[in-house]
Amino acid sequence: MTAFPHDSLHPFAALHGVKPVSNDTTISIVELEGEEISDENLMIAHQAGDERAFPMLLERYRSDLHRYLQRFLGSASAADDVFQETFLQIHLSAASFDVTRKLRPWLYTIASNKARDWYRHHKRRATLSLDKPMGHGETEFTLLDVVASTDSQPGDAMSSLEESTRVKRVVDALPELHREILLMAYFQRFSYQHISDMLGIPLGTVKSRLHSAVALFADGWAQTTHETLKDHS
Amino acid sequence: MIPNNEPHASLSAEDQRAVDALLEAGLVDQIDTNESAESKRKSAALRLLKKLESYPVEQPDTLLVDSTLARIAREERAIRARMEIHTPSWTKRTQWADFGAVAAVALIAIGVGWPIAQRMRSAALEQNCANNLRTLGASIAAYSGDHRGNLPATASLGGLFESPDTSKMDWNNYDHSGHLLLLERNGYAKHDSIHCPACATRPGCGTFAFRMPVANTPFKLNAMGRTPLAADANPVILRIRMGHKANIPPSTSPCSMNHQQRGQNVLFTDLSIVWLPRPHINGDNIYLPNGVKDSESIPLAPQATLNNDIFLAQ
Repeated sequence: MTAFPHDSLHPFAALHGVKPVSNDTTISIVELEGEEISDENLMIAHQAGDERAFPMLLERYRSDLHRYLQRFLGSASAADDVFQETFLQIHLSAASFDVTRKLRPWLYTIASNKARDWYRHHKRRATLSLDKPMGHGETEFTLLDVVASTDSQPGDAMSSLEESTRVKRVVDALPELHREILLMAYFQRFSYQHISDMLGIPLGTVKSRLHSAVALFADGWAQTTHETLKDHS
Repeated sequence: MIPNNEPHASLSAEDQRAVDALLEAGLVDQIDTNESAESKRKSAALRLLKKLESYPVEQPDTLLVDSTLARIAREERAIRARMEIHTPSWTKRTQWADFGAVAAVALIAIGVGWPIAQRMRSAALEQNCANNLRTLGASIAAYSGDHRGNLPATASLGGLFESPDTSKMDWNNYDHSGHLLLLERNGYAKHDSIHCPACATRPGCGTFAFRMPVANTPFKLNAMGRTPLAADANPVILRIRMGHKANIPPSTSPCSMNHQQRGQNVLFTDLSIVWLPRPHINGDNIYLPNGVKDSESIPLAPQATLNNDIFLAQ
């Protein structure tokens, strides 16, 4: 296969003003075959009109991003929709992407924005009450308490299916902002600084929001554990 | 900062440090064998967070990529369709054609409208000129009434134009406007009423042309019968002041230049205003001395020699 010359730019790239860097510069995926092609190189190839680059990018993030969106939105079909919206936005904004920066944070920033838009559109509300405060007063308990009281249950009554259902209930009931930051930090392994940049909020706010998210999850988990034990007894 | 309407929740300071340490280490389970309190706390935090992995997720549809690409293609087509609607290929050609049509319409409008506008302007100037002459007639009548019937006349003249050589009383040096300026100086007339508005900005135009008195003869209003008293500026004098020769070419219109030589307003001694298409009264040109015909050389000394000579100059 040959590289895409400039006079054969992908029509959509030309339509949106995507211009090659110089007359001597062409980006070809073929030239990069045999080595790990970075996300950023795929975007450069896409900007230059290589029609194979964007499907590769989609395939690369198909599983990872879709799972993130499922956990964020609590629904696979909603995740499908937002996944498509996200890559449509990436495609439309390809010309504005700064290839000197990493694609992944940009992609997840767009995905999170689209997910929040989806939430606003569907006016989804938390259904589980999680307003029990932690870490103060006579009811104070710590993560150690929570894990100790929920990990080893008499008779190991909790099946993995039951645990999955309970985790989903607790996570889905987390406020949108807390769920988003918890997923970004735990599943996507974004650093505090990355999350701060992506969400456009101060580093301290990221930390406090994540602490709060962990606390809400622990509290919700403890509550559902006690309810389950009560049901089993 | 967590908004106030969000559920309140917080971790203890020890737990916060444990969570931070885990995340900074990339969520690697770093459980020490020394069983320290800190290690236990980190281990507990990690075990709790690992429960998140139990969140049930479905494998994305194998067609997700294809359906996404199809959606992008649909959007591309929609964008192109919108752009074609807004910027059709024939836009540039149409713009030039439109421009040409607009320019043609504008030229036609100017071609038709300009002469109309000019005619309207000329008519307005003729009317204003007649009004000024009417006011001048009233001023002359008032002056005459106050001065035993005499018309305004001044020996020293003191007109609008500086005479280069006052010893020479030729056309170049003669200035008859002082007689009418006397009305203005004595408060009988306002400055505007002794001029035709059509020649207000034309150099050398001066005041209205005024009846030339005959030397050593009473210059009285009621001694003349009904004859011209003042009129639009004398074209012969104006031509000379503009540097032309003192003879009148045959092709030259004898009319005043105030109104594109289409005619002239004339004030009569009975204070009536008449528009004359040609400056002749009983064959006598009101702008030339007695006996001088049109297209002849005019005399060096502009003088009226007869009482009944109608000779208006400024």
